[in-house]
Amino acid sequence: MPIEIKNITKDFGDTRALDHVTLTLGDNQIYGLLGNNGAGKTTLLSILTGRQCPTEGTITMDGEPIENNDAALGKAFLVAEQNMFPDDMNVKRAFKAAALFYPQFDREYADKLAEKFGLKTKKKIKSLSTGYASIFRLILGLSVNTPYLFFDEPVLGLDAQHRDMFYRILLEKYAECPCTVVISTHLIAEAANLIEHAVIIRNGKILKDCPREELTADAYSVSGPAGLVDKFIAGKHVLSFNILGGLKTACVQGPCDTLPEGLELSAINLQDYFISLMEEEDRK
Amino acid sequence: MKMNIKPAFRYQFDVFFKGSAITFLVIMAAIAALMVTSIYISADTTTISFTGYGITAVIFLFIMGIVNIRSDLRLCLQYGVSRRTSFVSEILAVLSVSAILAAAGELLTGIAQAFSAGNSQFLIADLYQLIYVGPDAVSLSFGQHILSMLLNTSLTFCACLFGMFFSLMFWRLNKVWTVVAAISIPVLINVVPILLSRLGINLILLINWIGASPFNFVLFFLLLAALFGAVNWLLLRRANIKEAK
Amino acid sequence: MTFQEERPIFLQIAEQLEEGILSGAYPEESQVPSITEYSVTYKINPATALKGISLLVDAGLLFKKRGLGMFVATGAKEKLKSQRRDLFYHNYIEKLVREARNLDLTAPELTAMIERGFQDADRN
Repeated sequence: MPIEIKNITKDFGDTRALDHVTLTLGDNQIYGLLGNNGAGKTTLLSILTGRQCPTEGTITMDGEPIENNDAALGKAFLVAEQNMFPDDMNVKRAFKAAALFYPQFDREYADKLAEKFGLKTKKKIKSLSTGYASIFRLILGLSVNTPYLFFDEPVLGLDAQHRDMFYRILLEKYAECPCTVVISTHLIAEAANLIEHAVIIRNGKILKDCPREELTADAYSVSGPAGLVDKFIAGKHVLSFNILGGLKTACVQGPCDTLPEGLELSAINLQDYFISLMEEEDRK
Repeated sequence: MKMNIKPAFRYQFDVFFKGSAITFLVIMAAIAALMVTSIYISADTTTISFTGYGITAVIFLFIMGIVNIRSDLRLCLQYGVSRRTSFVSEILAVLSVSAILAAAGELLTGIAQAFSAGNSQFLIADLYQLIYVGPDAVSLSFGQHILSMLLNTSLTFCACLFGMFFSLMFWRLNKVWTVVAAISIPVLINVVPILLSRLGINLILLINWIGASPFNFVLFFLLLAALFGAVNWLLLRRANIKEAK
Repeated sequence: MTFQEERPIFLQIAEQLEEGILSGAYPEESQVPSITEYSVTYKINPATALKGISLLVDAGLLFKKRGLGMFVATGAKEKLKSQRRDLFYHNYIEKLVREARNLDLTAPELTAMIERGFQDADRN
């Protein structure tokens, strides 16, 4: 039951937050929704889960529009920074309510995770620190067992240890019970090894939408004396370059022919590729 | 499209019911205290009367309408229920709780009236009795209790939806319009009746019509509730739902 | 094992498994870590771990026991050794001979050096 996102546009007054976004989500993969702050990631996820209404465009699940569609909305859970719980509710009662709404909610697992992270379930959600409020929402997401699980900047505010724990627990859960996960983040390096499919978004537009390996498969970094590098990259699709003294490094996209003497070739990691891509877009 | 009302209704009913139960218990305690006090005061000088059950329920549900509509909507959206379902189940939950509160009130009034049958210092009555029967009646018949319950239900229900309207209106308005709205309320209260009478619409006629029969009362407030309901839906159907400020 | 960024992770996993089989860390008929364990331990997508393990399954070095997991196939060690021997010739011997030629070393001189190498290794 894939989610089809067609031409979703969202305007806030004069600002266009999303610009004809078209995308398909499904297949029990981990998607990375990658982009800088303000790129439109949060807006897209909000629209996907009914918190906001698009200005234009449609979203369907199994062919049915998701608007006012409980069957569809109940299949996707969003873990975002916003606290949507009443002031007087504590973690325990939130878990209890979750069991009401989600028949697959695993209370035991949620309690176990709370203990693991050191989350006190008697505390009011509003009084939790930023880190623990995030942890609370992460635990909810990991326990509801919906076919779609969306994380919007899941590890912001988490200390290194908790971040590590979250990734491991998520992977363990994902390996055991496949579902479609979307991780929206600007922490590209951390997401790199987790995701199978990358969606890069910039200024409300989708730049790339492909399997993660494809992004860096035909991209490489070449470095050496500036003159030699320039000769080599002439006519090629250069994403970015930098110069230090006489040494130039260029990130190139495209097939790589034999390297002349004096130049060094190395693979490019996802974060560097992303930055290069953004720099190229900036230049346009 | 099928709505998954059950979890939303159970949650919202729980919220309204718990709050109402506490209010009910407080009123019950107050009535008991008054009844006891009335035994100790001198016969000819004073009478203690309690006629506030209905009004208290109305005010309480009005406030709950303001307080809960948005927080319930947020929780429902977080837990995968559409805003339409959240709204519909909220209406159902409020209607149910209004009816239960009204029924409990009749029970309470009935018992209190029975207990104070011989005691002329204590008088307990509620809106229906005051408007349509008369404060002197010591007790109501079963049929009258039913009418009283319907009356209280419709009024309380309407008050709650009105409270929601307040909350939703101020939510959707930006800063400028919030100030305009806040100022215009007292203005409207004063100006509208004058305008209406200028236009030849005599409000007194309406009031008389309502006073003519409890069914008119119920009809009027149910229609008003429907109006508020429709406006409330229009206000929230495309709203951008974020966390509470 | 930290992942070097240059080489695809699934390849690194495959190589690590091969080393384990050769060294005896994963004896034949024994179970190797599951996809989930790889995924969680190295914080990688399970599909990546699966890709690496599939390489070895395709090469006949691992097999799957339904409901239990992945096991080292009988004869995997020998298979690997002979695979590695072929690679050894290509990766080491060819380069060795080329370098020896550059230094004007003859075949007997090279052989003597190799034998000395074995003796030195045995002494240490």
